[in-house]
Amino acid sequence: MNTISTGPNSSSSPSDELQLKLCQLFDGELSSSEADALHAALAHDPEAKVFDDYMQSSQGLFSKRTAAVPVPSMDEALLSIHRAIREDAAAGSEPSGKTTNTKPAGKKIAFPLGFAIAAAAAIAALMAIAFLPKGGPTEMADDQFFAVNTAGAITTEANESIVESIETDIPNAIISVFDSPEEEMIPVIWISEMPADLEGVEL
Amino acid sequence: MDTTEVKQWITDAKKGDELAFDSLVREYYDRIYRLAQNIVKNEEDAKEVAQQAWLKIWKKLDTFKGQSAFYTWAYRITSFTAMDLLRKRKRKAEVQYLDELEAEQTPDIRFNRGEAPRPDKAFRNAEIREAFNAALDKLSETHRTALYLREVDGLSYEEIADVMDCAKGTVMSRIFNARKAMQEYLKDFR
Repeated sequence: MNTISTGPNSSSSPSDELQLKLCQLFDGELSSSEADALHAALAHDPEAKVFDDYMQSSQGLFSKRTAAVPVPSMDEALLSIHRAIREDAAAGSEPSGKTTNTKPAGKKIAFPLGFAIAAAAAIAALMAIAFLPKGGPTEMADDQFFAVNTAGAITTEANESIVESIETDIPNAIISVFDSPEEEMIPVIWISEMPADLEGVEL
Repeated sequence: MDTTEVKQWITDAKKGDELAFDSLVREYYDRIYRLAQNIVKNEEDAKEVAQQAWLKIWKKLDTFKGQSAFYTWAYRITSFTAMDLLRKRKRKAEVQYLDELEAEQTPDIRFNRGEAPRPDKAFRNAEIREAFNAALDKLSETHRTALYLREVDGLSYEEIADVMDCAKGTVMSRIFNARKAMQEYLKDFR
């Protein structure tokens, strides 16, 4: 993947901290009383000054780029949205029988059942770990390893097949796949509970 | 927060009023589409994401409690939908193909840095925009989205955290790191 590295720096210098503050100031996230102190510090930090200059000079470029993006006509957009709504209703994804002329009523969340299945799998995996012979070789496959964290979410090191099985078990879960910080490890999958206001939204 | 008019549309749409729902679409479609386009980076996928996002908004409108602005809720659905599309695409290894295709089609800006400056200011500005766009496209989706929501929509860190379902500190870090990466990429270009 051809991306710019945006990972956190392992060590932050005083200049980094100043630049972070400048970033917050630029975004209006700092009070004006802090602004004076930052501007005073800026005079003694050439690197931070360059960063501040970059932020000032690039201001508006993002908006110009966005404004240049052609947007489909509103008629086309409305047509496609209503077509999708009708197709969805026709497909019977709404047990309530809602059509485009009825009140939108989301289906009841299926998360607790799916989560229970995943939790059961996690517990089974943990028990398997507990009964492994101590000191013996751990021949457990990567996709069999689960760990339940204290927040109630599940992390797992897994391959693509496990992602698909999780999607089947927990259709409403938000599944995020992160590249492992260690190259030799396979990606880490994070399953978090559906936010309350998005419950039932198929993502 | 939402205007009285928007609140009324939401209330009516919750009751099944299609015209009220259409009013919401008319009000926010452009912003939803552009956010989607910013994440998925191509027109066809952006259309698909926008359509799916509006379908989800219609289906789940009755769960919207008005505790946040409607557009942050709608943005949240859009960004999740777009990220999900990308994730599925990655699984099919299509993204790799697109990246390779894009790499072939996008001229290497750094290659031109050593050339003599062009006197034409308009050309220079276009060059800067091109470099800026190329640098943005190289950011990860999460960094680009955080920066987009801040720079284009003017959302506060707290609102962005709400949209992206992460901590405010994470938003601050993403925006800062995204800007640092952009600055690094563009430093020789100035």
